[in-house]
Amino acid sequence: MITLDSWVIESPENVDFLAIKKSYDNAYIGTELTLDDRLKWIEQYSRSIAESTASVRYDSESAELVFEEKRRYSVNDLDQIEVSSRRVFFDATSLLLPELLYLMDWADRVNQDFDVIYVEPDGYAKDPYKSKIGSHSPDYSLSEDGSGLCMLPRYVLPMDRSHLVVGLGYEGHRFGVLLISDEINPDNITGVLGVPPFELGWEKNSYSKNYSFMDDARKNYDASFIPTAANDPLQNYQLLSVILRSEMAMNRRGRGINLAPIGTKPSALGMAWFAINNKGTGVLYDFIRKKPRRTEGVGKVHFWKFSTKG
Amino acid sequence: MKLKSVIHKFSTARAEFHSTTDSVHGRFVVPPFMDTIDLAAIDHSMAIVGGRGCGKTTYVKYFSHWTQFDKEREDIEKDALDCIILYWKPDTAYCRSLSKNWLTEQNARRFFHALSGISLLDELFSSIENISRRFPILLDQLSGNVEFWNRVKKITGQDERSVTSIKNWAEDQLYDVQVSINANDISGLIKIDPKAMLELLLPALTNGCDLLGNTRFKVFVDEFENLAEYQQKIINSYRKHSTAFISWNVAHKRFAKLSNATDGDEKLQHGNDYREYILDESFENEQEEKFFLCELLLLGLLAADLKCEISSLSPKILGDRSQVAIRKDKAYRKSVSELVKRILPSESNRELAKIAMGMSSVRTATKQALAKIESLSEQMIEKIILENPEVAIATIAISSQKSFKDQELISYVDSNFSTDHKYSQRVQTYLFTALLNLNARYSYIDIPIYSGFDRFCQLSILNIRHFFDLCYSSFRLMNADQEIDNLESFPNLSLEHMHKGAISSSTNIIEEISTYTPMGLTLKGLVNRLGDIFQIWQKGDNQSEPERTHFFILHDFGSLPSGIQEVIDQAKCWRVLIEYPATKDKNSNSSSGYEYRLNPIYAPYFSISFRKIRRIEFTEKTIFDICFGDNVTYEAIRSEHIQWSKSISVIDSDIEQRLLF
Repeated sequence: MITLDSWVIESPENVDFLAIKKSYDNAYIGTELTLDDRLKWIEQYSRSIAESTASVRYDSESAELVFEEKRRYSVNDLDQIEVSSRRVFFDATSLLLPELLYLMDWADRVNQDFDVIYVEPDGYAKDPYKSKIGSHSPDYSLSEDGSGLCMLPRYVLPMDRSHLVVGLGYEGHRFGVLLISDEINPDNITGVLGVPPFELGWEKNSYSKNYSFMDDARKNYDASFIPTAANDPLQNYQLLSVILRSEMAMNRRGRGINLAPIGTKPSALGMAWFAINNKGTGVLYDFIRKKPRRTEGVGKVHFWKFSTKG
Repeated sequence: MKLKSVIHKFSTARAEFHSTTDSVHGRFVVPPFMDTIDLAAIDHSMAIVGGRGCGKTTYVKYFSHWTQFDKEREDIEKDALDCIILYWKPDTAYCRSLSKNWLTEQNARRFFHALSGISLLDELFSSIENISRRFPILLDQLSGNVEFWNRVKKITGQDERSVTSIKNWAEDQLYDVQVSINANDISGLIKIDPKAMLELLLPALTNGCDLLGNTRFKVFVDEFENLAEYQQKIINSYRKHSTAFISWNVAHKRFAKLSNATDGDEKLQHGNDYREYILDESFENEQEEKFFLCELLLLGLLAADLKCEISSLSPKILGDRSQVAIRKDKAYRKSVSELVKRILPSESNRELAKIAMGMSSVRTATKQALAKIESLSEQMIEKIILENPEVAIATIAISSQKSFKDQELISYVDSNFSTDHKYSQRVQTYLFTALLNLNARYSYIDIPIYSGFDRFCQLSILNIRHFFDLCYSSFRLMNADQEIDNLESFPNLSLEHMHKGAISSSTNIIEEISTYTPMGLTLKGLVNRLGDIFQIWQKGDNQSEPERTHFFILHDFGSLPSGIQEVIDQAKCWRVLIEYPATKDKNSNSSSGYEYRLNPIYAPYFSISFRKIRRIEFTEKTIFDICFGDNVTYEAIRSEHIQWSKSISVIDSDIEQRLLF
């Protein structure tokens, strides 16, 4: 059982790299650190704060977590990952959802307390070309084609009759895939909108990229849409608890919640945390490939402390 | 009734959204080819194939026990008990997650067998439940069928002998399998094989129940293409060993990438082991297909319980095979066609030209274009615009061509626009091109060129899902608060609403492309770039090469490079591009064998033609860059096309011939 102990928000200007003490043995970060400004910042930060930094990626072909491209652990054998006597550090900015989920899963299994950092962007890169040919709103293309939608091992749940909760972000097509796919036929859909957003005004981008899909979801699934703060994993967790309680009240076996954490990373963090604490929750991921230079600048920095012995 | 509620009922075109069961009763129109593709009568194993949105699922569901024995149905077909069709649409997202990479191959197969076996057992008991509603005697016969229940017990371990108890057991088992999967634990897992299970139960069922004494069974696996490869192999093994008594069949998207391997060494052979039926190519001719769309449209509107004065037009008759003769009646067909054409009126190009000339913006643009023809006097320009707007507008395109001779136009005007004059033919040929050109070139001109039933058929290439989307997008623009009493009082749409509806529908469908996994974003980029290039040609000053909507790839014989081939295959599967055998081109040295047309549903978004008239040739490198190149690379291709579209180098007569034939 993972619990949240504290949450601190800092401005990046207040973080003095020279003054940071190495308070962790291990920091775990993602593999594609050159993609944008904040990832460069986080790489520098994690190297300052931990004795050792390991890159982690999830290999969907083999269902393994791969550390430093050397050590591999099947998602079935996560408890074989070495435990640290001190807290460990996960960077939610660079780690993708599957990596974050399985690292937190490992921590939960072996009672390893951990801290999570997330750096907000200062802005999102716009594609200068696509708006020229007909589209009236900027195209915030953050990703390229991936291998398609999959359920993550050990978090699989039938889609039929389930309640699908989707985090909505700037890439409406990722939500659209769920609606248009002939494979995704849940009983209900709840969309989670990141409102208030990281910066006031950004919510209009989420709406403009998702509104036609939201309209379809309302028409075909009677979907509801609920705002939760874009940078608040706790609010997301609490919302999911409410949805689960209402599903359980229906008292039907086989009904459960499938999560599609394709919105902001803090909302995905909340969903991963919820899935670990509530076994039987399904998690879907679309394995998109991130584009280089998808965001600009370094915004607010979040530090969450989690414990696992609760 | 408020128009709003009629439109709302109409809005959910997909069968999946309508019902909590798999019955399509009251929402199905018997197509004219039903006797040829009679799923209940065909003996060999089948693959029902078709483009996305062509109605595969609805078709299969119609033959299934869900519809055949629907409780709302007044009469059942006389031979309904001859063949019981079990419909199984696997939860494919769930099934595909059962992969050997985390479960081991052996466990993954065990879990898939358990899931499919339990689901099919549940489906078999659903069929018994549905049949017994119509034939209560079945339950009596079943209760005395000791052998059947003994065999059920062999599988379930349950002593209880009721349909409900077995269905409850199946639901509980599915839950247990679900828990076992996440724990990757097969220790308590039920041992079940779907094929062996049916081969055990069905003979006992038919032998011990007189009602089903002559019954055969078919299993239809829908969305087959979305199963994992090893799962397809398992089903293929079942298909390979289908018998007249129990056959295994599938439905899947056309051009989908499928495995033809089985669990053993044998391959599944098309022809020997199964026959393929392509639903969207099964209409005898386009007229039949168009009439089918008319009936579907009216059925969609009747969904809100509207009454209709055409006595034979009712959900009951439309969905009843024995009533097909009524629907062949000339008077009936005339009434249905007229009603649809009244709701979605189609104006001829000539009428559109008249309407357009009523717009001051079009008049000004036309005058400016005609004024460039030196020998044409001002009075003559006025005369043409006033008396023959279509000649004035078509001349915008004709006069931009190398072969244009102003004397020819003057002699045509002097002949008092004689239909025998050579120029008259050119007007017919280029009028639509000129209308498209005006729309594409001037953002403030919007001639309703995408309006009308016939054009909706052309835009959707008779795809049901897209046709419904075009209609729905147009309906939404009407004043939905008005009251209507019956189908006859359903208002006729204005040309503007249909035109705007088509653009809105086209825009939404383009937005949707990025969701076509696994290459959605690449396909969307391809469509945007091709549409952009075709638009360059459509709005160019020189209209000697108008209406380019398809392309072919110049390359040596053999297959295309794998990157391009992969994109083309995906584009075909999702109907983003439509493949045709390449027509011979006297200017080309080599040919790819096929040409590819941008789906015409995208035409309104780009203000381009929806007709397949003229193609563009791309080298392998160019098409590769269009698919994968960055913006700088693409801008270079774009600039080239802008340059070429301005130079008059094409033989006009060649185009005219293509337009004519």
